[in-house]
Amino acid sequence: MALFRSAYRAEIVTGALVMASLVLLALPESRQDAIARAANHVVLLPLANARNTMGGYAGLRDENTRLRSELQAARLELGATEGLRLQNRDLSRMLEFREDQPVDLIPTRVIDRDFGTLPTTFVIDVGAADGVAIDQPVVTLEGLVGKIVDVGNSASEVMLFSHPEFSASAMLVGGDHLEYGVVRSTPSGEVELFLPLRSGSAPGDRIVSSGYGGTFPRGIPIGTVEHGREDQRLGLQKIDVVRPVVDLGSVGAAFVLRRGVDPGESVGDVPRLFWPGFAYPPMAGESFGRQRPDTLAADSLVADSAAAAGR
Amino acid sequence: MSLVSRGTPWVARMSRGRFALFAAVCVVGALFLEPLLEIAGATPDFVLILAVYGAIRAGAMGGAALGFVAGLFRDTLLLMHFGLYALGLTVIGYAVGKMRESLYLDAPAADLLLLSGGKLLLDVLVLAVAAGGAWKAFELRFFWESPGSIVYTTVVGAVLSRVIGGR
Repeated sequence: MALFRSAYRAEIVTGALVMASLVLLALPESRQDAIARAANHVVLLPLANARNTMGGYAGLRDENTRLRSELQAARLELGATEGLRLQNRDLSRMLEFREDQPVDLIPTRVIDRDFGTLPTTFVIDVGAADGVAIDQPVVTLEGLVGKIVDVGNSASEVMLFSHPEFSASAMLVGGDHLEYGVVRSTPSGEVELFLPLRSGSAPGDRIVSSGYGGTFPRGIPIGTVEHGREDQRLGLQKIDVVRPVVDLGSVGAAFVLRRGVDPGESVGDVPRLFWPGFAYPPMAGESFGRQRPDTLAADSLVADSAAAAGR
Repeated sequence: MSLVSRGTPWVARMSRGRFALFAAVCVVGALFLEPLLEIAGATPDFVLILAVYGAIRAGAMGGAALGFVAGLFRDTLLLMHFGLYALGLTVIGYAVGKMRESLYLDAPAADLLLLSGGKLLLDVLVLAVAAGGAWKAFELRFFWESPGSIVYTTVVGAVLSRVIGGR
């Protein structure tokens, strides 16, 4: 027996390790996830933080100069908008509007990401100490990135919209109509919009979060319709392939959206963050570039003059 | 050194300190460099390089053990199908170690052949499980991503062994 053991020791050890791997693979997904996250937090997160810190020192001087100039510009802008904010508050009170929940933007940087070909999770450098909580949306200036799924004290994990388990209630803004559906990702990372069968949609239609479901406020851009696809399962839904507005491969910085919870505030939405000048996401084909109020006024004057000349 | 000579592999002759440095570079590479080194969807697999060269150094049993630990490390990075890389790299570590114990030729080409064979085997296993029965997805990823990654991993393995191992 001892001779057998020594002769086949490598095979016995390999067999035991293969069995251990198979046991790990056979665990429920939630248990696998918990083990991997625990290992990730203990071993990898400190390394990622160290790398981030070291990388950060290199460009600190440039960043400092840039941030100072941005702060100066922001102070000037704040002074200009403060008056408008007070005016808006007074007018809203006069009309007895309930205030929207304030949306705080918590700026953050991506300090780690999964290493597959298709990114499905990020680690960001803000956590519970900064007010981050599970299910809070993560966005860039372009639109939706994902949501928080795990929170540490100073770092959090983000499930990206490319993750196979990600889903969000969405709204299709067509040329002359709205449709409500659900956005999900396929295992190959393609983003799809599931709509009722009778829905009408066309390439180029905008897709934004609908505000239903409680996780994502209304109006966060998700993407545009690329083309339709046949539902190969039961044929009961209309499926559109979505071209996301955010390129996950190039995201280095983002914002966590934190909403207030004070009583008397409405659910709130965020169209104005992404669609300046609009109270609602604009229809397909409608311009949504930033237009200054004085330009708008000038345009309307020109239009009025033209109409008067025509009469 | 001749191109093909029978004897103790160079990795086994490497000092412990030098092999530790080799392992550390592989770990740092897996943690920080792989995303930066991506070319057209292909990335070098530093964890596999460590497992294969470790197996050449340590033999079948040590190779299996190192493969298991390296696989768990990779599984922790990916957060998907926990245990899959541990399984793949255990088998590869054992197979490479067994080959070096029984018929290994101390030749640079043999190391690189083992490395590319290991990467091919690992890609087949990982992509098949990740595809979950969607064979079109498997074909697409296997034929488009694997050849590049195999070549890339082999080249990086050769460079590392040359620079750190003094091969």
